[in-house]
Amino acid sequence: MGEAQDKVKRAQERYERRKKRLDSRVDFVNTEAKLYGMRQKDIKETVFVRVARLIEEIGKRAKVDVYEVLDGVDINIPTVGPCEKHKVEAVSVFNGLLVAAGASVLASTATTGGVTMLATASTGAAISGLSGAAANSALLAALGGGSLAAGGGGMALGSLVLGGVTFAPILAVGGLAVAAEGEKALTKATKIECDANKLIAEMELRESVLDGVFQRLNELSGILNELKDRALASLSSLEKMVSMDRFDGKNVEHMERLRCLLLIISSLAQIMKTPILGEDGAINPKIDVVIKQVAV
Amino acid sequence: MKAADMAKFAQAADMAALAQKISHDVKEYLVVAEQEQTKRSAIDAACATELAKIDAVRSTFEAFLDRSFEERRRNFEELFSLVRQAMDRNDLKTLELSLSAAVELARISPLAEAKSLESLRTAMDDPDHEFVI
Repeated sequence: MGEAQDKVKRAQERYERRKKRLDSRVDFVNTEAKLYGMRQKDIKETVFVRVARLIEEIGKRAKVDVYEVLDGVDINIPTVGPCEKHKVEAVSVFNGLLVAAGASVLASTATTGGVTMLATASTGAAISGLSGAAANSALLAALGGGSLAAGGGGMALGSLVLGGVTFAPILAVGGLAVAAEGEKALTKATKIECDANKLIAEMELRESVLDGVFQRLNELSGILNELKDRALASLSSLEKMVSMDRFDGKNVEHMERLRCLLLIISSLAQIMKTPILGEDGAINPKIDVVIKQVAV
Repeated sequence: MKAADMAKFAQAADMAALAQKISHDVKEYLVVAEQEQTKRSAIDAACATELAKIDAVRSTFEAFLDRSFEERRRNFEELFSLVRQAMDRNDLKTLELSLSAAVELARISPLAEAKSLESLRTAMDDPDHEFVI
């Protein structure tokens, strides 16, 4: 019984530890996703707003509708759903332990019950036909070899037998029943341990998916930073030209520089609309399906 | 038969019944123990197979992501190098092409590509399947 209990306890503890680690990883990736969303917001509020102001400054000479570029730029802060709490069913094992404890009592009763059925009281009456104190006395006397009057050891010897030679086998039989239930409990514990191990393996797979999400966030952040840097460098140069009234809408090189900036801005907008995970902005549901399939 | 002899006989009969009962219970226990051991071995074996399958899917998935992200990182590096050069030269055509390629590449998420995991699991059951990472 102890072995079964220990097995379940250890499996439960390992599961809880792994679950805690996965939850903290989910929190970490969610934080990173929020930071990515804030980065997008920052680009929209700084770079895009500055480009809009620049176009306003250039005015009609630019002939470019920057709002068309800005239109439809959404800011998404995706969240990875909390992982489901899996339950390791330990109840069945504890039920098994209770059954085994009951079996121990039953085994003891069965042994003495056997004696009751076989033995006959010194009065000649079958012990099973007696009741109460009379039955107990006759039973003990039977275990002691019959009543003193009948030449047996009587109740005293019966008590000694119960307390010695006979008592040990009663315990042994009870112990066997407990051991048999213990074997069954150990099997149940093995199944629980196996289920827990599968849940842990599933959580490890989930963590790999989360690592993939983290890598994807890093990738998109890197692209946004690169484009933002290019946009800011181009923007600063054009802002300087416009502020010094040196920008000429008819100058091919000036217009090419503006178009370069707008190409960068357009790419920034498209990257910001790119889903981090699946098309619907959540973890590709197929990944979840696969995780469930392999865990069955 | 004397009373004492009868008592001894009764005691012997009781002890024999008890011994028989114990013997029976021991046999029963041994049968249960063997049955349960067989069940545990079957559970352990099935579990090990399932765990190995999940582990194989996980390690293949990780290898796929690592390789995919590393390859993409190199591609992005080259594309942004082209973007920088094109901007320095005001080369609109190269800039447009390199930015367009970068945006297209970014749009394809390796995680969305991971739908191939479905076929991966099937492949795991195919002993003749060769994995190329």
